[in-house]
Amino acid sequence: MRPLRPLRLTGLRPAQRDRGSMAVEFVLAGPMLVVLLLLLSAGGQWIDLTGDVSAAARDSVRAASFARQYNEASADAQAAAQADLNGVCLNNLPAAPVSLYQGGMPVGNGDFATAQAVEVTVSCRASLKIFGIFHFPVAKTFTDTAAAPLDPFVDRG
Amino acid sequence: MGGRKLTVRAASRGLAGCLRRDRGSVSLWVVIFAFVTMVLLTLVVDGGQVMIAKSRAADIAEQAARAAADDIATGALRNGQVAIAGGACDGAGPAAGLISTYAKGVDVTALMRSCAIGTGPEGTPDVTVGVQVSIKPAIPAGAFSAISVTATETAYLACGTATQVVVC
Repeated sequence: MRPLRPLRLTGLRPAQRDRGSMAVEFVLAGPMLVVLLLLLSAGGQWIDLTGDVSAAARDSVRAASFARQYNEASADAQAAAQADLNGVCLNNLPAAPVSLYQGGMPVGNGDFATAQAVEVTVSCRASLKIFGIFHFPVAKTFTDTAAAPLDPFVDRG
Repeated sequence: MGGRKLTVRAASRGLAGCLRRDRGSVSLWVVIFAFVTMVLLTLVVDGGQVMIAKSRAADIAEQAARAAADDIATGALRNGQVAIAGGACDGAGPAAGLISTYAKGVDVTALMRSCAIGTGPEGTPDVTVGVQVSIKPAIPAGAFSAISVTATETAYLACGTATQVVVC
């Protein structure tokens, strides 16, 4: 068998100028592609956390609507939010303030007996964990509100 | 073989042509990748928002139905009849009031599309409320230029105590 002649690339002047250009382009484009993937992942996490806080607000207000006293409603709302968002919030302590409404207008805490609706706004500062891979912490406060009617036939003192 | 004779010089010319054609191919690839990623991001974020809006609409309809079902006609109740007040579904009634309060708190547009007093399981009175919720998408693009979802929920009266339910 005749030995193969070594391949001699002649006449490659224009191509020689391009040698390594793809590598350089990849070096420049690489971080941009990583940022795009991070953005996609962060978008998914943002929606996930938004949904979690939204569900916590609904559970929280439902728990508050069963209470007989304002303090009890406040504690139940807080407990429900904390149970739903266990390990999600940065300080593991979501805020869940309770407000009362009568005829569509806000009323004070003292009017719990006659209020028609209760509203809870759950706030939770959570981190977008995907950025933690690069030791670059990104945290955002997620907030959502839910309302529920108060049973007019329940004695609330 | 009757085909064209391939010389090393011709092959090298072809290779050089290929390399020249590759110039900027990474940039094109990056543009395509960025476009696909942005489309996926829109799908993830706005699609997720649609799902959240749907559960929110269901909750608003559910709570509005509960508010209306709570509006028991006290006059009829004193005569031993359990019935929901005729005005429970009115524009200024408890269902509409709850929807207004809820929407204001969440900062979305919520409309009561339907509200009907009927008869539920075992002849108990019930209220069915339909709600339309509209939100602004985070990335307004394509099919997600506006998000509008509807939900219909029913609440019915349960007579008796928490441990013993009786026929109304």
